[in-house]
Amino acid sequence: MNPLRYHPVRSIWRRLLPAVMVAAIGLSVGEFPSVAAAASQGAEQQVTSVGGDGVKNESRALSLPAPKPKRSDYPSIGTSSRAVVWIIAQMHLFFGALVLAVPIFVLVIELIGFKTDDDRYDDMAHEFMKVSLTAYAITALFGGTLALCLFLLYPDFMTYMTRVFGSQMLVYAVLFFLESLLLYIYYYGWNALRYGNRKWVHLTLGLLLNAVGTTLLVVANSWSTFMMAPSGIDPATGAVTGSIWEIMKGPLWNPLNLHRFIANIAFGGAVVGAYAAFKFLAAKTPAEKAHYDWMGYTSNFIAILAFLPLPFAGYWLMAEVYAYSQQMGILAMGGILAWLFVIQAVLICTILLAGNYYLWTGMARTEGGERYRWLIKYIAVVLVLGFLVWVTPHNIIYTGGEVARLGGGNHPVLGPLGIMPAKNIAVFLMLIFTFLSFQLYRRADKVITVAWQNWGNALMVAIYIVACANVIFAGVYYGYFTNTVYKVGSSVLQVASTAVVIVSGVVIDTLMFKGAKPLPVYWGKVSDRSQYALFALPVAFTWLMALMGYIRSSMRTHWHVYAVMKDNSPDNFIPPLQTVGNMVTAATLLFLVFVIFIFWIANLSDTKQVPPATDGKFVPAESAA
Amino acid sequence: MTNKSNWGSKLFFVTLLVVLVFFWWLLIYSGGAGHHG
Amino acid sequence: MKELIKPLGFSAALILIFASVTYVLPQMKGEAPGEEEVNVGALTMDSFVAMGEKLYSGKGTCTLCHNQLGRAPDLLAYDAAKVSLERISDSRYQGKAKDAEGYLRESMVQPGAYVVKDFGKKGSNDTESPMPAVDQAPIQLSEVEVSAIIAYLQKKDGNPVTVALPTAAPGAQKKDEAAGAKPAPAQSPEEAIAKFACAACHSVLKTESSIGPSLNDVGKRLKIDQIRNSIVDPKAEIAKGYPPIMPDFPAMTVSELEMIVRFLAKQTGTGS
Repeated sequence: MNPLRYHPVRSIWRRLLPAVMVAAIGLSVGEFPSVAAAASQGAEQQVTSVGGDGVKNESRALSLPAPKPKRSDYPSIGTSSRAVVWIIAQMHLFFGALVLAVPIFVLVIELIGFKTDDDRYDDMAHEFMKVSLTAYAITALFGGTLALCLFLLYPDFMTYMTRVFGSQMLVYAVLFFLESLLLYIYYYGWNALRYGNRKWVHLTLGLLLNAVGTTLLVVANSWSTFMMAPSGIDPATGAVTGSIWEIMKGPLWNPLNLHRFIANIAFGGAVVGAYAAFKFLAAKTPAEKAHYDWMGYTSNFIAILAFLPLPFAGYWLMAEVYAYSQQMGILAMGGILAWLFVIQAVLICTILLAGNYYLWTGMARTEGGERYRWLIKYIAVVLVLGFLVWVTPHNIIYTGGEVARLGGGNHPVLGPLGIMPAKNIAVFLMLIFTFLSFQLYRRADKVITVAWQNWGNALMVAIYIVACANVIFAGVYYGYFTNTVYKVGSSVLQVASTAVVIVSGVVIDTLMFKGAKPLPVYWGKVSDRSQYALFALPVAFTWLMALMGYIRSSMRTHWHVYAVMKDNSPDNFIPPLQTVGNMVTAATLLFLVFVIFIFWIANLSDTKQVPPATDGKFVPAESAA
Repeated sequence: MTNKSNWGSKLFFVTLLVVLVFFWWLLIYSGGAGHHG
Repeated sequence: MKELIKPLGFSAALILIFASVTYVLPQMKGEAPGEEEVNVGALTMDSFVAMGEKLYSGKGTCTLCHNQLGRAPDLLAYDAAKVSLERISDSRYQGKAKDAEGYLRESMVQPGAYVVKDFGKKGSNDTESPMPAVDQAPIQLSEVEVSAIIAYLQKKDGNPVTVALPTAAPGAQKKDEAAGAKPAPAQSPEEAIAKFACAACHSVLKTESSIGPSLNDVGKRLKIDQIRNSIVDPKAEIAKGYPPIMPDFPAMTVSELEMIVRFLAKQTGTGS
């Protein structure tokens, strides 16, 4: 019995800390209902209270209609206000996504490290958090600048938004205090809270950090979704009629919450993957190379794993947009914004190709990878064909002569490939085959020993075949043999089939890997070329994120708040594609610059300058003979 | 005594439960059950 | 740091490839609908129908759904007026329209009144329409604009246009006059006579002309009613020996007429 275990100071601390933690949790959780309830009750009370002169004083502000600014009411700083807000908002979104996402998978990695008692995981998690910390400051800088720009350049719009959201915006501000507190304790307390119960405390802090971060995400999301599909207001005038919950919980809120939550994780994984790739290329020792190779693999795994369910979340979001306003939905995918979805095809195929390529080259790390090499070319074929189908437009603007030669408005062969069902078939097959790459990779470093492995493999193959058949059949039948309005129905079967492949693949593999004989994995033994896949991934992700964010924003057309507050600014038009390309590219390049800065800072914090010679007797190591 | 030394994991899982309930409340239930608008 | 150059270059190149995709694709700019004031007074039926055609693919955003892709009936592909009558006589029709114009208008401002078979919202069994009311946000077509589109839809198949040309409201007309759409009426008989160029043909007010009868003694020759009638209806009675070329004066206001008539009645040829 170690008397130190019962050291008085420690036991007091042990008794106090849980109480403090519970109080902190209670405060943070209890705070929201009370603050939010106050906000909502306040809103309702305000509407019904009567002032001294019999007039409803406080409610007057809420019952004001949405402002109707004329063009001359918009301030101008000599350049396009939209361009300024666009870049700054996009930068804030990039960094916000990063700093919300990294703690999510850091927590998971930390847990894995704790469970497997493997220091590598813990060290990697700690290193990821270092990157996140610098990014956090940049997020705040862009957030503050964004707020200033919005109030400066769109004062009437911000008057309306602050009137609608009221004290919910203060909740957002308060959450940042909590986020900062938790972030600093989580990062700087890493080594102090390293083992045993303290480690659990650390994990709890990480969990709370993620909870606050996610709350920040959904609060900010409500502003975007309100602008697209306003709720809780009088549709004719814009006057506030509902509680803050009715305002926040519009039809697009939860779809956007889910989509951004998952996409953030994918994006965060991709960015730290670039960090790992950079460190791999700069590594001097085999140990370092092995460490960063492994880190890169883990990042890619996170990115692709989170990427796979994204199309489903995106589908839900678009379905809700269509349900809210057919017009808005059609504008996005069948109207003037439709070309952007063809560009999206290019981006996602880059992502899939990069992710797959990294997995394929990674199979060279193990001897077991040889077995599966023959499958790679088939996966590549599916990916390339899928890309070609996806990128085929339904129609383009032909000249009269071209129409005559075509014999109609659409190309007889390519026309049918241009509609959604063909693209759905392409996308879901690509996802299924990407998952196949995953499965092959996971099998490459082990020899399966369970007795039923032949049955298990046969079952897996059958599931793949059935899923692919379903995807193709559903797409062809619903797409080409039924009425337009039923096309959407095809997606359900395709989604379900893909989901079954992924879920059953994970389950079957987990069972089949029990007791498997591990093969040696030579971390660090990959080509430098493979690391470029880890650069391509975040670059494509970033550009794609800016592109999709533009689509989401542009769907509102000439409305600040759709159908409620008209946009009369000089920039109230949908810009041509080149402008969009320029802006998205500018934001991506700017992000690249800042990310390099972050990597450099991370590197800098590890650098120790060699102390200079003091009395001439000290001989620096480099100059030793 | 061995129970007491597991308080860390209990803390974590209780917090996890609280967080999940919180998000269920925030995203689904708040303002009254079901979806508004 | 030199390990950074190649990845940086690679990343920049990739970004530029993505950007170049936006350069090769068709460029389109989506202008916001302008706040155009329709000069109702200047509308002809042709310009009214043309306005409707422009609205159909412009501010009205009709072609977003009403096209050959099958999401909504492709009005441009068939006889809109004829089919409207067919819809009204459908057993499921429960709206209030009695003719093609009424049906088209009802479809636009109350799309839920009747949903054409197979075009309803999914799962609603053709009871709910996915079409928004075009006179409300976000489309917000005015009554004149809705009428213009109906006129276009009738005209395009060669059917008679039953929509009346919108007329300016009385308030609008007063505004026109006050804004000086017409020149201000003359304030004195001399000004009126000069304004209507009587001296071009008649001897009056110290000028000489022998094309028409002298007005210097018209008060002696004609009674006041006759003088008035000569101006209001010059062709009714021509003075003997003179050509029948006196024009009408449609722009002459009533006050100006009375001023001239009373002045001329006093011209008796004495003391001129």
